[in-house]
Amino acid sequence: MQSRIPNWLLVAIILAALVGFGDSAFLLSKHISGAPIPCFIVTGCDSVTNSAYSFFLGIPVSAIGVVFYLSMGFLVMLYWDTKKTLFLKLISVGTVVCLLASLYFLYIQAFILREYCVYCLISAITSATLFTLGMILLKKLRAPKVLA
Amino acid sequence: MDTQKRLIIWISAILVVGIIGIGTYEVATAKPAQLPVANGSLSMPLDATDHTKGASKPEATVVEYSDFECPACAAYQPMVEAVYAQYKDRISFTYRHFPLPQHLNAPIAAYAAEAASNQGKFWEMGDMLFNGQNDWVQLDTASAQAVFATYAQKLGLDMTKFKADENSDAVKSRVERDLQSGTASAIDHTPTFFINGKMVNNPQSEAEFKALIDYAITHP
Repeated sequence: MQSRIPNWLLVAIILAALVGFGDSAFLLSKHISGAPIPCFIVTGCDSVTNSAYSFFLGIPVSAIGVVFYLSMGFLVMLYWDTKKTLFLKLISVGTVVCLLASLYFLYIQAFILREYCVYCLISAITSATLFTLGMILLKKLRAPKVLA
Repeated sequence: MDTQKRLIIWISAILVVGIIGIGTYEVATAKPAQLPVANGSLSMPLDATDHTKGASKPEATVVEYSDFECPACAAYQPMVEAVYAQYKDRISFTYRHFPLPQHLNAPIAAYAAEAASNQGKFWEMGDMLFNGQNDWVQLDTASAQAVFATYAQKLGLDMTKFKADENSDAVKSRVERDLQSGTASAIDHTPTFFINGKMVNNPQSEAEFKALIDYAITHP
């Protein structure tokens, strides 16, 4: 049976996850050290990341981001290792959750805080990318198997 | 996939994540680079941790960046003392460490002064270090520190605390703080004097020094 999940798709997911991981890890490091965040393009980095909305159930959102992006990459690795489609399904579900979260945070920035944090915007872009890739993945999963 | 290949891929993945994670952390928590300001101004304002003596509401401030091993600094001491003696009710005088890299014992001398400072004897230790310069500048670290210990004993300091403080991270970063502020002010020699926060050319005589201070007082 030919593998119907193209490798480029999985590599793209890993790359998007790495970008998201780096971005979240950067914000988390700044949060831990209390250092100011160098903002560019927009000006609200410090306001957004210090607002009450940057915490979820007492956990900094950046920490959740780190764990989430790491998991996405990890799931791809697990699929490569075991070829179990369960992991791909989890990825697809994960990217939907990720997108919903990103939309929520975009809403907060645009309408509640009226300030933007460029690193959150970067995360929104990686989320959107992952969501797109996740939907392509889902489509591939549902396609009829090609027999060699 | 055979086990070896799997192991390599997993380990590589962990390394990549680890490197990105640690790298990001280091970048995020690094102190922002500070360009030296070559316009002759004090880069770091005076604060409560500075060694400052003199008037509490000074009409002019004098800061000296100095190095206990530097012969020029020792040579300036009498002039500095004389000027201070005359102006101490009107100016504040601050000492900041700037151990030059070629002076091997300068840092430890600075640490000894800081350790003495923790017991309220900064200026006294500074004087002893300058006056006894020839006794310790040529020695190796351990021998020089033994000389500092004799100074500390003469000052009646608690020796256990003195020795602990001399080698402590807190004292080292305190000296480092001064050194970095000096570098940020583009200091390249010792002593360097700042009057009212502006670097001045080293006065060549007591009279010149006093004239500079008089000028600073009348032109705040």
